[in-house]
Amino acid sequence: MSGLPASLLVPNAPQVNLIPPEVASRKAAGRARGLVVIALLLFVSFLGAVSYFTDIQKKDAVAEQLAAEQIAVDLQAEIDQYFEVPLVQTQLQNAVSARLFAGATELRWKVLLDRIRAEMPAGVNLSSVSFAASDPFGVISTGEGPYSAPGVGTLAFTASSDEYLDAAELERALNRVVGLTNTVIPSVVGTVDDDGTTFTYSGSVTVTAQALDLRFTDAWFQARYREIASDFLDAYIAGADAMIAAAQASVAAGTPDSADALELALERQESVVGAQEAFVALSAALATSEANLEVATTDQANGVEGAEADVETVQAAIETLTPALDDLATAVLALKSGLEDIDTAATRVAAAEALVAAKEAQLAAAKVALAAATTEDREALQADVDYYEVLVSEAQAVLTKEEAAATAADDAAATALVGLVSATDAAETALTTANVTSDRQAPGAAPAVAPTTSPSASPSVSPSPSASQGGDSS
Amino acid sequence: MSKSPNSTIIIIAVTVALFLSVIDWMFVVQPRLSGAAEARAATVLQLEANQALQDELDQRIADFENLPELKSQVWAVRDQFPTDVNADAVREDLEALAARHGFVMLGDNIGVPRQTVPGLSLEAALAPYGLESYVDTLDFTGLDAVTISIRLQGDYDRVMGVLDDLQVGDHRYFLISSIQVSAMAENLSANPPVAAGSIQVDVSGFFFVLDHTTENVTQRPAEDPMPGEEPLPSEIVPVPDSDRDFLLPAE
Repeated sequence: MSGLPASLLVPNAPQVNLIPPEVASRKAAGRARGLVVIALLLFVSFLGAVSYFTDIQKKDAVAEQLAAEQIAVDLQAEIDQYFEVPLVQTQLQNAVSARLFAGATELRWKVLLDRIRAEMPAGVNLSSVSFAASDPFGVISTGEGPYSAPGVGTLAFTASSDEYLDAAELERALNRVVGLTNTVIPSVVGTVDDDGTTFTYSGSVTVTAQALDLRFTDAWFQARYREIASDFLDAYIAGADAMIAAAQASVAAGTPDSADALELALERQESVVGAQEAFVALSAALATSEANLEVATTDQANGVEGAEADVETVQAAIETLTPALDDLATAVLALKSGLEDIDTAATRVAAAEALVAAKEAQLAAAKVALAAATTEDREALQADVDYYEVLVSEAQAVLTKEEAAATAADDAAATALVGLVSATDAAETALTTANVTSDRQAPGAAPAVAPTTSPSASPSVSPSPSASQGGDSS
Repeated sequence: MSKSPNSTIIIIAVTVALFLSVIDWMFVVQPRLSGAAEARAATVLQLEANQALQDELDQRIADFENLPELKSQVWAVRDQFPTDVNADAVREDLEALAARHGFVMLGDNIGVPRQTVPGLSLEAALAPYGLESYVDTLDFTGLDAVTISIRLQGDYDRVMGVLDDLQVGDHRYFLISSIQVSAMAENLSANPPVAAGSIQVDVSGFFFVLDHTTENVTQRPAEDPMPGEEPLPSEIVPVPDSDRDFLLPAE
């Protein structure tokens, strides 16, 4: 132990390094090499780890990609199971497009000729009318000459009358027909005979796109449905009295279930009559509104004050009336379809009953044969009886199925009747809401009610607050 | 001045490390990272494509449920635009239509099919009335038109009844492209006699054949046979004798 204080940090033993510096240096270099090798190994290991990690990453990514691709293959295989869908869709699209194309230049001749007849001036005899589309599948004529209007063809006519000015009247009359414009009568030839003077004239009128039937478009189908619904309502009501009389006769005769049949017939008649009244009123209101819209649009184009508001008002009325009329037509067609289904079901039930009767007759014949048979034939004839019993039971099963279908058809018709009543109520509400009061005055004509320039008087179709309340309450 | 051995070792080590790093990066890590990135990018694209396929599948399933309705729509068109000329069926339609209105068909003139191609333009004709043309962009194939002309004589209402039924009736579609209406002079001695106020209408137009290229796919849905039309399940259907002469009518 040294006696020196510890604060001097003097070691207890003598401190002498006897190792030569070269040895120490070699040792240090060896340690350094070792450390470098270890560091290098660690670094290589690190690189290996990085490589391994990236390899894992790549494998995972590739596996995910393959899995996604497999899902695609599976999905595609599943899609391919529904191969029929796009084929049918393509077929339908092609068919619908071809149908639209085929009917694009169609004119409904009865409608057009009826319109012409309605406008014919008294005393004018139209002796011939002809129309030839140059090429219904080619480019539509845009007219020739500075005053010609674009049209879909030209209607040629010949006419005669006793008055010279009838030709001018005819010209004006034809120009009034929707779908006709630019009537031209180049010459009037008068022939004097014992009865007086007869004027004959021929001319032409441009048929415009307004006359096109727009066959197979959505609008055409909607109009067609309305037409069919209207015809059905008329035909149903025309035959309803006979149906009710027959039902009343059945009740008087005490036929079972006839009272229910009479009640149903009366209910149907009441509903259908209500629907027809609503249908007629809605159709008239819509026609008035559409005519009003035409006048208001012309007013707007001419800068008439308040016409813009009129257009909006009439458009609002049309937007109220149109869906109501379409819904009512749909409900009528549903009832029509339901009644047709009832008829079909009744025919099928009758056929099933005839089938049961035929099989029962065969069974009865087999039983008679069995009763009259000798002992040795009985086994075979008993088999026949068993066989016909099976047939009878199967025919009865068919009858039961058809009777169930008939009941379902009855229920469906009853539901359709309820739908018709609701659609009738909705139609009445729409009528009240739209409140179509009167025709607008055509521009240039004497005002019937009030000048269209008066904002308060100009809207002939306007929703009234009281009517709206009525609509809400109903 | 000479470098110490340690420095040399460290320099060599660092050089080796750098070399290994570069080699590892160039030939191992970077290609793998790049491959992984490409695979992930491809996966993202594939997943998007899968979503589109899934949407398509969902749509197909939904459409498949609606397939009977689609087929019935195809058949509704095909009733008006059949796949064959079938002039015999056309004449049957005309005869039925004429009979319905109390007419007798005296003749017709049916031409040969002619192919129609899209190209009709109604734009100029419809534009003045604020209407958009729906035919200018139509695309279809396989529509052939066959010319037909008939002559009708009678009073206005009946002739127009036939004409209207011809146009909108529930049968094969007829397009009337030209019409000639002429008033007829009364001639009761003619055969058939012409009453006062009669008109003669010459109508020319077309009926159509639509070649459905995928016809075999869309078979007309079968209707339930009327009870009794088909034998009951247990009923034994008699088979003809093998020596029967099939050219002879059945007894």
